[in-house]
Amino acid sequence: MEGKEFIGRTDSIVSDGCKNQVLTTLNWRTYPYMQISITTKDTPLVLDDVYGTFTGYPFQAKAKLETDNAELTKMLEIGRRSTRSCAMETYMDCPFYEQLQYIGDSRIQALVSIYNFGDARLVRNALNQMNYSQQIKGFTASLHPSVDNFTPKDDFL
Amino acid sequence: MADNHYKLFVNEKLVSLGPARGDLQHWNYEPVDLTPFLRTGKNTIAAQVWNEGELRTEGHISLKTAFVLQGTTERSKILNTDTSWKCTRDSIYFPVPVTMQNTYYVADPGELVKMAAQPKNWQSISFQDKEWKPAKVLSLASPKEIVGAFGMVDSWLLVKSTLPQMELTVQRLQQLR
Repeated sequence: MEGKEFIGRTDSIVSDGCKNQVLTTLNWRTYPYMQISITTKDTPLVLDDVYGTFTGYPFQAKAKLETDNAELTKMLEIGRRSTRSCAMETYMDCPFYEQLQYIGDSRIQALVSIYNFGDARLVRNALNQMNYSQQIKGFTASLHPSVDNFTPKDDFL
Repeated sequence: MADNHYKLFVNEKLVSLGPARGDLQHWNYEPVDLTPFLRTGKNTIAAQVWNEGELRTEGHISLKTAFVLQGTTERSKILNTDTSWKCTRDSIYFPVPVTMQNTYYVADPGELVKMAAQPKNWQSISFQDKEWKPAKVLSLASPKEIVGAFGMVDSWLLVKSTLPQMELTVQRLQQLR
């Protein structure tokens, strides 16, 4: 893309020269755009297909907003899409950079999930997980699960 | 369940992804019904297990790399992960750190994959696993409600996941430039 720079995660595949090679990444990726560059040597490469597999919590839209205001209708769709992009086996603040379940973000995601999808299982899971994060000082962490225990800072209390 | 991740295949079909993220005191295992994927005669149950070590995502805790599959009936105990499982180290994947300036990036690394080292069709019925070695038993899996001798626990405390399996839907690229 002219004048644009791609940053972020890079995956590289070194072909073995056989026909019909198939590969799926181990973990899922989050992308609005994808840049593909191909380097060949003595023989050409045949690329049959490149596609994604939407991977996420199986929310199903149940709520409907009926209005003459097209912008408002679109907003509901955008909200659903954001919530779905940030919901796997936990809620996440962002599926690209952090993938972490913060209690503050989860509160809003919980409301959206219940109103739109009528499914509270991920909400219950988030509340239980925050409870499990309680440490010796008595505070629950600001996010959980995580490798490090993030105790809320004074300004959050 | 696995530490850190697994993909479970029955006769080459992906039937379960996991585990749902938890912590060491609440490590999820996924219930999975294999019946619809089995057929009369020979079947191949195969799992891909990976752990991206220090480069793995911040939200995915790890103790050590392992995989547990356990049947819930007398007959399905044949599937239990013990030394009857054959395994091999997959040497095709290399994690690639993601570097972005002034950014808090703690999701998973990229992947460098060298296809030449991949055992071909390893999930299929026709695959010959003669070269593969018996799996090693690290410890017995402990359900959360059960503790060992003197109340000790030596690994993950397992709980049944309360969440459904993730949706997997083919998503085409909308536009090519």
